[in-house]
Amino acid sequence: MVEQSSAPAHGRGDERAAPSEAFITAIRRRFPDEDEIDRVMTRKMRARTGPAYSAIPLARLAQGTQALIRSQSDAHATLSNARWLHGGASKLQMAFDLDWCGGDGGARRTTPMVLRMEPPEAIVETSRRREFEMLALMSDTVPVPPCYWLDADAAYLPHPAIIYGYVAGVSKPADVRTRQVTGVGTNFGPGLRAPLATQFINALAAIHTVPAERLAALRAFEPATVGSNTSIVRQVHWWRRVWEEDRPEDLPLVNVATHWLLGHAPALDHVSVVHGDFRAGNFLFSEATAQVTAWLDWELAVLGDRHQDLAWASSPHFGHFAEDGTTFLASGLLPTPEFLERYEQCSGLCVDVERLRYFRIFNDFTTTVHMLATAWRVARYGKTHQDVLVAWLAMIGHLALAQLRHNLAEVLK
Amino acid sequence: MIPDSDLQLRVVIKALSEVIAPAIDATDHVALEQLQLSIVTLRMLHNRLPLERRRVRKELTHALELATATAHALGERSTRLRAPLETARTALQDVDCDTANLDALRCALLSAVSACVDELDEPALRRRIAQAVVAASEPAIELARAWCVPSGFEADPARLRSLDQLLE
Repeated sequence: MVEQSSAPAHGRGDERAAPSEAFITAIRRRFPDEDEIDRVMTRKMRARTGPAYSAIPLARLAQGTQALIRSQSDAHATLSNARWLHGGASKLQMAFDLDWCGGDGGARRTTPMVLRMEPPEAIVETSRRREFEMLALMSDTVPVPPCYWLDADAAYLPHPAIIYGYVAGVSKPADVRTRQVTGVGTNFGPGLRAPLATQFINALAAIHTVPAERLAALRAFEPATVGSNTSIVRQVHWWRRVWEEDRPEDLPLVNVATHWLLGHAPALDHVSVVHGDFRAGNFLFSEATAQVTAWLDWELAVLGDRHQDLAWASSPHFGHFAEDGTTFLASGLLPTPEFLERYEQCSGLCVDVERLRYFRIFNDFTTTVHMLATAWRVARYGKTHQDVLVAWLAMIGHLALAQLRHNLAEVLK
Repeated sequence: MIPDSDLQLRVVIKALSEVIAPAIDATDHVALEQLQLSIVTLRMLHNRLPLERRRVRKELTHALELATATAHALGERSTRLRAPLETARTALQDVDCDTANLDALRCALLSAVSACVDELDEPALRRRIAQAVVAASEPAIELARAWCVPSGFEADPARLRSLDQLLE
């Protein structure tokens, strides 16, 4: 049984705005999670009364980045051409060029790189250590940015950060105009769909079939086990915990969803790396060659059930209807039945409709948490570099909640 | 004359759109995106502000219906819901009750229902409550979606009932 919710908090007497140690401890006890997730969430709560985000000069970031690199690699590395990188709703990104001798102490060269740093609180609070490890693991599986350095505890920069290589490419065709602020509903156009769809499926299959012995190298992830639902239960706890830490008010549907998800969590039939946000908008490609150049945003990766990614990639939020007005294209690439069928062929793993249904509910639950709890919280307290974007995105939470309600109604019939 | 919200929002939107926007460096994508979002946010607020009080009252009505449905499903175990239900009913009859108070009462009702959901450990009753909550949550979600149509996230906004209908 999940313990009783705390009182509502709408500004006045908002215990979540200045959480006591007792409040933090009680939530940690109620929703046990992986150690690294617990570390990040606990840090977030303990820092909550800290200052709102205030503009960080590029020069300050460049200085901290150079100091980090010099401490961990080339003592004579020199950073130049620092500039803000546009895109994404969660992290600050600064592009720059690094003049250095490379990791091997070879000839001097210039390498374009990206600093990816957390704001004081993000729309999704995640671990840079996990993101760094996962990028390293994936580097010989699918195209990902080369990952260089990690400042997990903000020793050199204002907030935790990673540094990876800059990868050229676009996340949507340059001639596509969209009213949306993210990859939501990206229309790649008929010409790009087929080649991108093939790579989309191949990459997802490759990610989901990384051999188990390689997963053992991950230190910031707790293992998942075939025949057990522990890894899924942990994730439900993770996001219910975030709900309890961030929500401005109660929503009984979230409580209902938590109980249903805990009560119906399926045992794993195969342990996969789950990307956690695999969709249009989270990969770069070359418009000239239609080749994917990098798969991005690994911050939500977990070890778990492949159906989580399959349900996410085919969610209504990230697709759109084809030119015929009736065929829904998963992630704007191909019809969902074709996507699932080709995935099965490519991965050798089956797609189970019951698990898919479970993870559709799970994904709607987590989106509801991100948008109606965390987005509200971080925008309300000015914790990000783009509160106006975060507050706008929060409105998508009502669609997720509607979908959650619809899907729960189906399973509770 | 005290300047009204309509006038103040109009002039700010005009200044941002016609004076500030063209003055921003076209290569500063972050600033341009945030300005554009600021303008559309203000337009949405300008459009919705006159409906705010009606929305708050309707949201409380929906929360009241949700709590009532939950209480019926709970039967004798609905004690926790009685006081917030009574307070909310009284407040809705009071035309002078301000929106902040109405909203606080809505939050109290939602908290009471959530607590009921979390406390249950008997499977059949839990399922009944879950069904009641799921069914009774629909009107509030529909209203929120209609309110947020200007966000552009709705794939087919025409399928939603209009705000006027939903606020009746």
